[in-house]
Amino acid sequence: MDFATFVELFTWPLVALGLSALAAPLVGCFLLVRGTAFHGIVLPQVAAFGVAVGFALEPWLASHGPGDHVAHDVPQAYLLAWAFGAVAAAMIVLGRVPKAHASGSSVSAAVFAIASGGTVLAAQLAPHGGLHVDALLSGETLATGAFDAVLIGVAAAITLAVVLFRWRDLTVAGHDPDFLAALGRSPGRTSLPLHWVTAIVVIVGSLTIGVLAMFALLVLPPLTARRWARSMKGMLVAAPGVGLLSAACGAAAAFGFDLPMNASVVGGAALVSGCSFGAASILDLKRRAAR
Amino acid sequence: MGDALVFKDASLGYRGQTVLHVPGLRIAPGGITVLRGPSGSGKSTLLRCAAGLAPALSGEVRYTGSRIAWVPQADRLDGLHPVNVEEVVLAGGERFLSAFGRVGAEGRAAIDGTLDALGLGGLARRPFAELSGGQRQRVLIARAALSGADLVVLDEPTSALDDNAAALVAAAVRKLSLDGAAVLIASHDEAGDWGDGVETYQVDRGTVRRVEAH
Repeated sequence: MDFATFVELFTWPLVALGLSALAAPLVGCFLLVRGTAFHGIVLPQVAAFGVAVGFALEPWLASHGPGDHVAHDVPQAYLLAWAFGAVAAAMIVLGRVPKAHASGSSVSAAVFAIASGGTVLAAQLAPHGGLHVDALLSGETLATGAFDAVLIGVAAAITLAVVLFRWRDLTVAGHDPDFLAALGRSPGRTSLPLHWVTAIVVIVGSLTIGVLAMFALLVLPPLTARRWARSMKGMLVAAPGVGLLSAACGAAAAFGFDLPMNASVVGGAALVSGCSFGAASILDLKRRAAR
Repeated sequence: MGDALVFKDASLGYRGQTVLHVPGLRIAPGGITVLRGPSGSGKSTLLRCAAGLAPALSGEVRYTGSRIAWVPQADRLDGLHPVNVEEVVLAGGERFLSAFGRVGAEGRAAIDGTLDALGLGGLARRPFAELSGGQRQRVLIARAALSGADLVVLDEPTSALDDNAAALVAAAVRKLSLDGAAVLIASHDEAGDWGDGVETYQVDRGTVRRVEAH
């Protein structure tokens, strides 16, 4: 298959991937600077868990619900609702466990462990959804269609709008919440738009391009951008660029070596991050040698 | 003009437990009030109450102004945010920003003027984490100045600074009060030169008492 045919056949998956590569790093930037980068791993896994539970419970709900229903014909809205419920519950738990009882990272690890095991169990119990959940986790992005691309486009637009209009407030709320509170503004309320777009991007992205790709795009581009950023604005501009580059490398590898798209995106992000850190290390060595 | 901040027979503490009793404390607009006491005596508790970050357990805490600026110790802010000086000082300066967070000409002039006045000229684009301790503390004072606050609460602003840096910070604080803000400082630095007309209160065995007026 030549590249033009590849693009023509898989236009919508590539569009969805590109839009995710713009939105997820923006969310990931704020997760990183607030010390909650691990949530970029936890929340997509929780979304997958929600979907798996939805599949597992679907036959029971269908047999007890109104109207005719084709058991294996599960609407996307139904799965999105389950994913949303799971992610919302996880975000509440992650945000509310008192620091006196457990560190944030240990709670995140616990939630991830439960979500991972729960996903496998629920998928086993789901008569029609096990394959879908497997695809979600291992990531066959190429199954994405026009509707999914539009959905992730809406999520990306909302994210861009929140970041464009609120990035300064969100930065202060994370950097010095006491300063904001003394001015009479609640850091929690100020951060609410961020929590909403985090949930939306994680859920829509995980169900559209898969959990693996979301892991990569939420964590690696912000980490790369942070290394070079000399301002918060600079980091927010650079991270989506790194995300797009990572997605492009992943798509190229998927096409060139006939690999799963999702995992290839992880590889692309790792390659870009690796090159960035390599360059940064060389620069640091040169600076030290020059002193 | 009345006092900007008044504590009257106030008990301060956590989870119902009183750690500090304030029989009376007043801060006038344009005045500097210094709160002295050893570590762990409750100075930060009083400061957080003054800044509206924690309620009093009982008694009266009355603030008559419109805007409070909190100035923490600079090294207590996390280093994960790659903020530059301009982004820090504009944290409370929303009146200088457009809907997209862009700085207009008036804002640019205000930022540059404030930074120049505090000896930070030319550093607007420098990452906050790359500054010295004294420079970072003065950036936080610039942030308070640009926020238009009429009460500025500073928690140990000269702690961990050498004498030169501490002197520059003290000069910045005096400028805040000259510009009309009421200033409340917690300091265990006995030698701090906060200027003339400073009210001093001492935290002693769970009670705050007025010491002297210079």
